[in-house]
Amino acid sequence: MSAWTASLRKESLLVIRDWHALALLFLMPCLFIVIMSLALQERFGREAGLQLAGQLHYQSLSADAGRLLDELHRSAQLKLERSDLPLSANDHLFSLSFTPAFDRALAGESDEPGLELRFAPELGTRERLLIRAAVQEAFAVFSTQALALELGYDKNYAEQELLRRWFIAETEAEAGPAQPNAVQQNVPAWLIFAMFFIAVPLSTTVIDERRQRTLARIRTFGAPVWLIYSAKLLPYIVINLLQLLLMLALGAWLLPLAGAEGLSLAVHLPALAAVGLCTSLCALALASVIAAAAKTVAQATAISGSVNILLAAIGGVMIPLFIMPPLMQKIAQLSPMAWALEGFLSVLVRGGGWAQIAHPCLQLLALTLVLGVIAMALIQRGKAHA
Amino acid sequence: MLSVDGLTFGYGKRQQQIDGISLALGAGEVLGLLGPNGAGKTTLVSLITGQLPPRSGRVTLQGEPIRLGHRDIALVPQEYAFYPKLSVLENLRYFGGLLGLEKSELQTRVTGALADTDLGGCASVRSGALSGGLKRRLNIAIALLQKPKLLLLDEPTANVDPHSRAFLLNAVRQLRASGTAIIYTSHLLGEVEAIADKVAVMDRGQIILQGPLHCLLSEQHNRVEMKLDSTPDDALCQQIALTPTANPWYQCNLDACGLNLAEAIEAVERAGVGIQQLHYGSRRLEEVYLKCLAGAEANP
Repeated sequence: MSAWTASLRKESLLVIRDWHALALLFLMPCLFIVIMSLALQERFGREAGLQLAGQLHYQSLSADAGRLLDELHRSAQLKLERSDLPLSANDHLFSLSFTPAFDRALAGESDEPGLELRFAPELGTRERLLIRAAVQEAFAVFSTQALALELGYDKNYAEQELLRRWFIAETEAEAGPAQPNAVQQNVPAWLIFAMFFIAVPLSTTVIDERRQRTLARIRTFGAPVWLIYSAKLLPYIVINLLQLLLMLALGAWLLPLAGAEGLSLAVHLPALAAVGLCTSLCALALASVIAAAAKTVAQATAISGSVNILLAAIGGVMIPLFIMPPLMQKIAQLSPMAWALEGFLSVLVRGGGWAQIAHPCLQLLALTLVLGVIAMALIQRGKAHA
Repeated sequence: MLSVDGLTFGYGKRQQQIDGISLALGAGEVLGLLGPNGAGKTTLVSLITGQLPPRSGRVTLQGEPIRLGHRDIALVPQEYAFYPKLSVLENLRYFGGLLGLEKSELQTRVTGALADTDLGGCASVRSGALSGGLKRRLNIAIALLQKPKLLLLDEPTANVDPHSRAFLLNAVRQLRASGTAIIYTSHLLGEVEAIADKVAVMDRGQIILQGPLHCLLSEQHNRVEMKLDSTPDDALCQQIALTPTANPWYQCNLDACGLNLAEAIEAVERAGVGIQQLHYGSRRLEEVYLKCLAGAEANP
């Protein structure tokens, strides 16, 4: 048996038998992905154009009120349902009431409002504006059509000559990145987070070996440093890639069963694997620095946790980048997790290939190199003070 | 076999941790390396195994300079330097694997190490679940895989029960009998006295006393320890230079009173005092050790 094979076998056994680490590396991200994908599904969907649910209140409807109601139902932004319950009793975000003075107000015979909009207290400003605009648009269409009919024209004339929807063209200013849905965002985000958590079991193993002088003993057996560390890192790369497979499978097949949108895997899979490998190498390099720098397991665990959470917070894992203000989006570019996330989203959301992942992968590999050099320097210094 | 000449070492620009140490050890000899905590014993062990580079001086084994990973040198650290999540057998196979042996040779050595340390019965047990004594045996078994010519044991019997201690000391004797040179560091002076051929006492990075054990123990043979059945009177104490040590033990200084042993015993009996026990001609290692350190303390 070669020394490298023996070392690889030993490291694999140690990893497999570390149940706490396996739970941290596999169970934790699975739970995060399921919870966050389902919890944020509506929020991501709304950003992408899903309807805002509201309820309608009316006692009886005149012919005019009925036409306005038809127009409101045609709105792409609104999903209306008649209900007499208060807003707090269901999931509706707003209520729209046809007042008893509707017809009189429409005819200009009353100063009372014809419609009443009532918002749920927790509703944000953006949603309120969206609802108000949708209602106003429906009312504008209804009024224009009523005017056209009054003047002896038909609906078609009102649409073409008065409303003139064609007058305002909507196009993207430039080709921007498509926004992910909840699953497309959360699967790679929490996968990256979990991959970087490899620092906890790796540093624990290394520090235990150093403290117990097992490393010193291994070196008296003639094992060079490169052999010790290459055999140590390989099982963790395999674990990172298993994390990748498991999380993708979760997004593609399990989450749809829970009602979430599924992750499409009809993408450039080699590019996806390459992003995963680069992320893994970067995570292991960071873990090696922490393992070499920390003196105790408690130190290593605290440093790993803090660094990971910080990188995740600014890197778009916890809060999607497209929600962040421009300054924070710039700061996010300091986090390797943001680079990894960009690589994954390029493939999973925008259908990118080698060209699209080249930049984030090169960033990750460059940082891997820098961290690797720092780790080796710390290891050499540690040897001198052994 | 082992030769250490003028070895010095220090971390960075700091004061020297090891200061001009020289010693020699032949095949089948056991050197008891003694010294208080912080004396530099573990640093010296690290220098001899090649884990630390000396500032000056050299270490050779059979005339060849030592390098890290020398196959003829095995280290048994004070700590349990193995993997508690692996079984005894898996640990031995791993460390044996580091030697790059053929499968059959590896199997032979693993079987031999298990037999030498009587660990065959718990080969499949997770190492972390072993008792303290069995862990110490595994610590040694791993070193035996190397079939070393020089074995360095750093406090190998710390925190083990008397039965396991006896087993480990017996194992060391068998290794010595097979021609292995052994450096044995311990705070348990009785152990060192029981197995060592040579003793070196370290303090503050220097060896302040070294030599064959029997020579160190027989030096100053002019002292006689006596356990008396009654308190001697002042006249007897003056006559044979008798001073109390720990009641009912007294020490007689033959040089001071100008008598030989027979004359001193006769003087005690003439005074009507009975001698229940008598130690003469050697002293315990603990006494040599403490005296040596006290001398070093007085003349730093």
